Amino acid sequence: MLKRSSLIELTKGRWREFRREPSAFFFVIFMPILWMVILGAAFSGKENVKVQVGWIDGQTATSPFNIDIPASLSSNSAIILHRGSIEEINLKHLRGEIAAIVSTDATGLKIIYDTASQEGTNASSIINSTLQEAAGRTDPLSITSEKITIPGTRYIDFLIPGLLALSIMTSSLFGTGMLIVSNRRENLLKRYLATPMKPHEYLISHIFGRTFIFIVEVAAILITGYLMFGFKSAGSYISLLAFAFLGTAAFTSLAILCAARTANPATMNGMTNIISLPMMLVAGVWFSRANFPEWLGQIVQYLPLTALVDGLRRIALEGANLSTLMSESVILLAYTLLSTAAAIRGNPAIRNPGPPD
Amino acid sequence: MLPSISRFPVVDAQSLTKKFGTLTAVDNISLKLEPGECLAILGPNGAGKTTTVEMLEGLLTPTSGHLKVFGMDMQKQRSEILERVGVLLQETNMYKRYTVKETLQLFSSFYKNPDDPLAIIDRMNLTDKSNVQLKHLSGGQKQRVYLGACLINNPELIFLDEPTTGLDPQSRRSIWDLLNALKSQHKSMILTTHYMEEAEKLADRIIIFDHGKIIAEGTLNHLIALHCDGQVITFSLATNHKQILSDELPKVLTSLKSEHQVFSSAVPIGNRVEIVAHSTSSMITAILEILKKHNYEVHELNMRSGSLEDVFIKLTGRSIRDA
Repeated sequence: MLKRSSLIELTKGRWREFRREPSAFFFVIFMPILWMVILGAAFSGKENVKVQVGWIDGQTATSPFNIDIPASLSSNSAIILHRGSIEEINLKHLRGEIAAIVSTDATGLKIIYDTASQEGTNASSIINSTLQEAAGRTDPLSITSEKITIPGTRYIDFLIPGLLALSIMTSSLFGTGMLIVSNRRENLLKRYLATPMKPHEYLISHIFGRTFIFIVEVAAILITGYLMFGFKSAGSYISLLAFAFLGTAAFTSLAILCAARTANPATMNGMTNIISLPMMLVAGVWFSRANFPEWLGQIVQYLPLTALVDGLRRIALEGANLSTLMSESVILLAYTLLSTAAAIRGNPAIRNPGPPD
Repeated sequence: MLPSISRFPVVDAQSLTKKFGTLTAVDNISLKLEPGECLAILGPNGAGKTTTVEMLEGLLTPTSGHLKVFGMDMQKQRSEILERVGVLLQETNMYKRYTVKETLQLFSSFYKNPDDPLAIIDRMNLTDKSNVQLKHLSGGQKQRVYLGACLINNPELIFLDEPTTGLDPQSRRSIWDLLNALKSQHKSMILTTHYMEEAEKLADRIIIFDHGKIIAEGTLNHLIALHCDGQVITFSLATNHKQILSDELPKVLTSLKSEHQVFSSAVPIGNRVEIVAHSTSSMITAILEILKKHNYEVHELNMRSGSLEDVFIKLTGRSIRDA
């Protein structure tokens, strides 16, 4: 009989555990697709973005240039005008349903909006030019807008690599970490350690097993993205997979590190949430990080999820390949090596099962 | 013929100590296991049995002491040793969605010269369950799978940590049959158990642990002769109000002990008292006399020959069921 390799058998086991665990299968395959469909539909469905403007009834409706302010605003198709009492309009503004309020008094016309908000700024500039034109302004330059339709530049194109990164992170952290912790609780790790199997084979099998799972995951996202939104990667799919593998290795190692230091599933769950939730928000999965304050951007660029999102995006959108993604690759490799080293070094949990209960 | 390794004891542990922080779980114990021998380790919970066995299995590193298995140093040649060792841990749960065959194939991959998983499945009488996932098996069937995993490398030394705890009597018997078959193949075994019957059936030699130390060691007959020679008298007490004493029994016993040396070996177990007696009839007369003087009535009186359980009770002051 041909000798079975323990690494291959353990890796096969990882795959089996995944395939036969319906909830794991669901979360890994369907969650990212669900996100993509919901967000993709929400953002691609809108033909033109409109601004919500408030007008308080009872104000002087005509300006010094004798234009009817509410009528001029309504005539612009980019504006949705909300009219109502001062209380109603203020309430809508409070709820974020209105981006700007137009007000007139003895001193003249005023646009009231949050100057730090992009929506407000946008609304203000549209109101301004609408009213200026109504009052007779003529523009020296003629500029027309053109809608972007080329695949690769839409929001969905930006979103899909982000979702890939997100799903690699969550499935590696939660899948691997919880599995190791429950293996230990059920004495299975101890049982493995009573065989000549090398602990590193067990750990590596998690990285390899994850790799197979992530191929399925990546394929599901890419195929759905292609079928529903015509998404195509500008760079090669080999680069995409290779880089995604670096991400899988980094997050699986992080999960192993957490699992090695954690005794029970509840703590493990909390720990993975503490790691993943902030990254989910700040790493630029949903929106560009360009608007972050500089100090935050400085910190965020060293997070593993940021490196993964950036790298995947540069491959998918800009056609980069691994050789041009040095800094992102180095960051992910560093996380992989440091976490693995920390997990194995003097580790009381994986090498040494601790006192019997 | 036994293989030539019989020059060495299979296990040779010298002065093993294991501390967890300030707790000394195992305190300077030494033990040897000869080839083909089955050694049972008994003791109350927390006595250090499992810690000791886990050191012998190479799962825990002793705080001090020396451990040789097959004449090799556990620290330096751990994986060579483990190639020849089989382990059945207590309360293990292997992955419930693996089939029996997949589980044994996985374990076979860990060893250099494993047996054929299908042959093991056959030996464990699980052939019809070969492609069934573990979650569909009964406790006894699962335990046979784990025993199969323990035997997959055809081990010379087998550790069995409470192999039948939690099983129904029929499953227990089928595991015992399998273990007896291993004994007849001259496998060396170390068994920890809560069941006296198990130790009596399987063990050639017995070690009793308490508080991290070995408090008795020997063959079954030797232990009974040494610690429980003669008859065991068991009785329960009623007061003159016909109420059976149980709460105050230890107190009553302490005062009786100070009064008469007949009670020197008496141990309270639940609402009963157990005494080992050499000359039974004079003992019973003496007991009845003293109790009458104190206005106690003997409610129930039994007599039987000493068993391993009595040895255990006498040495640890606890019944193994409570322990």
